[in-house]
Amino acid sequence: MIEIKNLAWQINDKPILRRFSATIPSGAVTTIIGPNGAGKTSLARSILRLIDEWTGSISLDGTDIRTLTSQELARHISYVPQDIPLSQSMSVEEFVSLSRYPWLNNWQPLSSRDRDVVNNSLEKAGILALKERVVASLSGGERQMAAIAAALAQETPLIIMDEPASNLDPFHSHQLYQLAKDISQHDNKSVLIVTHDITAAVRYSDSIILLKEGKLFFEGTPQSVANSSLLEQLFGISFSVLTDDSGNIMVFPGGKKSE
Amino acid sequence: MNKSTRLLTILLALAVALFFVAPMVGISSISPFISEQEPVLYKIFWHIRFPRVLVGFVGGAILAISGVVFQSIYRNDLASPYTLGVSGGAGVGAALAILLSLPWLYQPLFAFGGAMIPMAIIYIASTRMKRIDPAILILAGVAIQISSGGIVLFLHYVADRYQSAQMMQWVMGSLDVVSYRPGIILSVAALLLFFVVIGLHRELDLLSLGSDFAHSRGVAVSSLIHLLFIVVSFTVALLISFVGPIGFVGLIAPHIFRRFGGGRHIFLIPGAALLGGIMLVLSDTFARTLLQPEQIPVGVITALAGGPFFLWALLKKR
Repeated sequence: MIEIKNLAWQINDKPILRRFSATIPSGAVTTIIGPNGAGKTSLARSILRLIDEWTGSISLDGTDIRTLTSQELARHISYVPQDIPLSQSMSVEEFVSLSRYPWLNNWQPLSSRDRDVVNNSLEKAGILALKERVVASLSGGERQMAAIAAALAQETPLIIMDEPASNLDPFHSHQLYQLAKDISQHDNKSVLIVTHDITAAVRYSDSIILLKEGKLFFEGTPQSVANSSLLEQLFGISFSVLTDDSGNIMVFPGGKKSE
Repeated sequence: MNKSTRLLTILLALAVALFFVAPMVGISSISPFISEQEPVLYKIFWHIRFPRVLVGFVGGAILAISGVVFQSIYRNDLASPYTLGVSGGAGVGAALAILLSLPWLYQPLFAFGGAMIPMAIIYIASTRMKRIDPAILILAGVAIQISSGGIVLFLHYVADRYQSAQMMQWVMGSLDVVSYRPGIILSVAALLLFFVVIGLHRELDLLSLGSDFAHSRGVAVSSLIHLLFIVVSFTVALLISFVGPIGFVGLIAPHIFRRFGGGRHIFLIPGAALLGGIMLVLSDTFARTLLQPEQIPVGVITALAGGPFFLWALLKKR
């Protein structure tokens, strides 16, 4: 569980995060939604300590993350970035194996357990057959799955994904969110996703955090977020919320700018 | 045996062979088994050509390892050991020693001191950054290189013809050593560099995928960059102080190995080092023999061969 209290961060006197507080539960998918510039990515990067100049506190199962070394932090939190780093000369297996770094000592080679973890991660992400391929030769969807396999191989209780499906078609996007849900349910991991896809967030999340101007705007279940007036207040645009025959909720921006 | 190991084995065999073959080549062809009964030829082989091959090999290896490191830090194939402006600073130091007509020994000392100045400036600037931004380091290196170039031009302007020619000679780089001392000093430095860098092969793998990625896998990125920065710049400065700024080897050797042997640093570091050494020894052998008895500065050969080759490699990549 992650507890964030009064998190604040600013760039050149411009506040990006303003005394943000929230709790991210274990074994669940939590999604952060908000307009551009609301501070979503900054929040994710603060938890990862890619941004380190914030005030307030972030604790991980009771431990202040500032007291952890880089290696210890990497044993707790893994990251699927928006842009997957390309390597012209690294195979998918080599790329995923690098995520065992936090668990290895300097000259220690990969053990058979490390190799099993890598293979299992590739299998879970559905890309075991691609392990010999060069990362740069993968399609966008396959590359995103390689990044998720890498995060899984890091064996952390928390995985943070920053707009993981922004470049994916509906099929790969569904596959990715479904995988995130499976990971949280079967492996009891926390998955924190930053996204603009409200329908996917409502469908696959256990809880949703709405962020506006660096502050917590609303925190609740997907059903409570699928509320057109709440979303209108957040984005300044009207929304239609529909439910299909199977009970799936779909959220569409209506296009009418609110007064 | 995988592709990378096979390539490493071939390069190692080539390097060993070259150590004996390269000193054989020259105005007179001399066998490595030359007897001491022929003192002149023996001396030419073992006391003139062999130390030169040693400096060439070790120098090429240093440049290639440094190239690997900087290309990984900057995630840019165009980064070279001189990206931080080290060669510009060394050039100012050497030109100053020449202008002041100081004894020969001062030239490498001044070059070394000059190379340390840009390194110190960039090091201090980077410790003040909250997070090291490789793009800013590259631009700082470019700025230092331009400023150094301006100072060297000014020193050229105020120098007499003889001094000006000496400065030009230095800038072109040469392996014209007359004893084993530079080779031994550089070999020790190269071994230290090699062991530090190979010990960090996993960190370099991660760093080459971006500093955010490396950080998220548990690499203490800023400390790592500072350490590499100091070790590489110090070794390159030492090399330049002996042989001048020899270009392109540090750029091309990592590039070629990466293409044929892969990008994992556990293979790339020794592979590029061997390839860099081989390339510089071959270039120097051409430099010594192409217009014999005249010798062309080796930097001219590496630039002439390296520039078009690099362009070809880049275009082929597209």
